[in-house]
Amino acid sequence: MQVSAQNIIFIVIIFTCSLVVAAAALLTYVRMYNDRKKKHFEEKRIMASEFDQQLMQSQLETQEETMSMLSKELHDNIGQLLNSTKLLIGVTQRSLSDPPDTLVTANETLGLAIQELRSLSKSLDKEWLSQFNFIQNLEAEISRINSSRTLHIFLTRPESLPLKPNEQIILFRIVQELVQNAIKHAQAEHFYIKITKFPGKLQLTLSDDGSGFDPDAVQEGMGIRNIRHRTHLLGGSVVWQSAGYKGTVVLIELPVNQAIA
Amino acid sequence: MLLPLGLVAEIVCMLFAFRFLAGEENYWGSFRWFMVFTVVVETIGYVLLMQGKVNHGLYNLYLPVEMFFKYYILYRLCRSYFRVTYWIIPFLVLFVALYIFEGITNHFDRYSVQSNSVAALGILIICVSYFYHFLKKDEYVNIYEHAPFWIITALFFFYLGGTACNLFFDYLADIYRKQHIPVRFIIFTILNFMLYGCWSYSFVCRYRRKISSS
Repeated sequence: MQVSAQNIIFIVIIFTCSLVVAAAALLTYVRMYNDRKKKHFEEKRIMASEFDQQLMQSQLETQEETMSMLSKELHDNIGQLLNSTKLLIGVTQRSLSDPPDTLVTANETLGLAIQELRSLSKSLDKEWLSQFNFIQNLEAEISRINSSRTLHIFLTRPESLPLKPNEQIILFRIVQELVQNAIKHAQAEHFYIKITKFPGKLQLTLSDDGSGFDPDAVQEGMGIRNIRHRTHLLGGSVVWQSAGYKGTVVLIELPVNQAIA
Repeated sequence: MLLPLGLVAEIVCMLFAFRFLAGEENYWGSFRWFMVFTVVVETIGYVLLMQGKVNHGLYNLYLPVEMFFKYYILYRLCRSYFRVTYWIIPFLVLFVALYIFEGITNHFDRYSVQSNSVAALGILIICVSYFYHFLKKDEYVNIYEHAPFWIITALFFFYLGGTACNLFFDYLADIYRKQHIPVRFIIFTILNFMLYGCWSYSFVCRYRRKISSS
């Protein structure tokens, strides 16, 4: 059977168009499937993020509970023992007509130790922390540390912080950890805390004059990981800057006026 | 007179390649030289056609370069998804065998359409396998910014769309010789626009990715 040229052209055109349409259909399917995959991927990411948040939250709650328990133990057990010891020294001091200087000094030192222990116990107690705001707690902590003369802390702050009490506790723990780092690892003499409120965000700049460290070379320890976790829990960011082994600057930025876990 | 619109698409794609793949040292950089070669061949082919001469010999020279380049690109783009060499090697062997056979039989003055069809079939299979493995992969990739996806999509459209022309090659050549109806020329002009349009877009994607990661 002879097929005319027109028929061949018609067949070729129809065949070509069909194949191009088939290719377009396949491409559309790929696009739709990929879009579904994107949605699924996004849902998985949100679920993972929520799970992380919950995990961190429960870790912190456990930590707070432990600290609170430790605070009670310090106050009720060790504090009572020290108080009894102080009482006995006082009784001994009064029974002697000329008590030796060493006994007087020991009594005074013990008094200071009890005072320190009370402050420390307070700073660990969650219930106590939730009653006060971040600024008050921080000032109490600064005064406790400044009186020990291991480190001198300077604070620049606003009147109040736009954070909920539970968020203020988390932030307080971050600052405590950084201060401890400055004392333990950096052997710093001065520590500066500057808190600035900006529209939509809160910025904390914490710097010391200690030995500093190389952020790339130093392996991330438990303390730094905790700080990162806590900042992440507040929805913020934290950056360490330490160049030339001359002091450390930590920059924390937290979003405010929005829901934070 | 036939307007060389396909050539225009190739020149535009070549310019895109030189603009957006500048400085590429890997296989992406080879697109520039392949496009230069394509534009030169198409220009000579068009001039020969205008002079009423047969240009099949020229396209027979172009065919192995084109196929080896496209298979090489497919190898580079698909190897992270599946064992693409299982498809490439047999199809290239078959292509070379058929090309030599057709060349000897027709003295290289008639277009080697059968070897072209076999190589096209191989490309289509690799493209479909790529889509399958692309969707099967766990991680999400934004196709609108993914240069390899557009390179392969272009090849898929070009070779699937050109299947009818390859199957009816002899008939279409006869129709053109007797009635001067350039059906194959028109279809391939449209397919060229799709192929080089998608390639140009993929070069832009590649460029964007490069500047965003630097």
